[in-house]
Amino acid sequence: MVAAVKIYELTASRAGVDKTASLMRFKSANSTTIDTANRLEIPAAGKNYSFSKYARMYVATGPSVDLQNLKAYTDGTKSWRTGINMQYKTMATMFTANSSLDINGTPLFTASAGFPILLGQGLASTAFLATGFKGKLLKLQMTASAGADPGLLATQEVLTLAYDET
Amino acid sequence: MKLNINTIYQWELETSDGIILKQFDENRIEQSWKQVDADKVVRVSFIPQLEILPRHNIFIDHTKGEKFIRRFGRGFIRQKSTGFKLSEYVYCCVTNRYKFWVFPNGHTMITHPDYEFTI
Repeated sequence: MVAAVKIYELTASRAGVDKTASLMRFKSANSTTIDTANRLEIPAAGKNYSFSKYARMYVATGPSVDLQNLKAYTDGTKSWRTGINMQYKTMATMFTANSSLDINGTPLFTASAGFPILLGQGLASTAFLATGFKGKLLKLQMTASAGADPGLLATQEVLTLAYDET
Repeated sequence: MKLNINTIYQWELETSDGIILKQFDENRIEQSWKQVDADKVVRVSFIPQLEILPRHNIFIDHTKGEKFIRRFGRGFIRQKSTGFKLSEYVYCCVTNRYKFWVFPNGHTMITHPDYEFTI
């Protein structure tokens, strides 16, 4: 069959919530639920960090040969209000419990189609076979800085994940 | 098979010694293009599963130095308002001279072999 690839929000390195039919929402609690509870507050000083989240590709139906060239990127432009940002790190396989500690990541919107986040296995490497969780873990965390504009829910940003199947 | 953007075209390869390899065998099992010798591939076809779409044939002329390298499909999963969905898919034939891209709507694009299509 042609590969069927899904995105999961991880609760462990090889377990999580299928996000085919729901979004990822960053909160001040370790929760995959989409609601308005546990909002990230704008601090009086300094910076507040959301609980981190992990995204990972899950191959529900395996490819005929392999999967390669896994990437993630944004449109390169943050459309959120001033003071609201997102940072990321990639992890080979290590899953650590989500927390609101600073992950010391890279600004997410520096990753664009021309400069994507590489999630593993370029053409020269051994490719991914069969089903299951594949590629690196993409760890994400939202930040709110003092002086950020208050408002309702932040505008939805678009994250793209790409793969090649042969 | 339900038609999605990643199944609306199927590939077929033909080699110089007359072997024709289809993406799915008679039992609907997907085949690997690596079953044939890439150096012998003289035709790559993208065959639509909807009659209104065009078929695309790529003829690889070994006498002119052309050579088939590989084929792949590239999927783009985007976070939409309802979740992370496969929102674009392109089919690609790579030769030593060019890449031939086929989109689910039947459109095509020919690029330098080093070009990488993204959305």
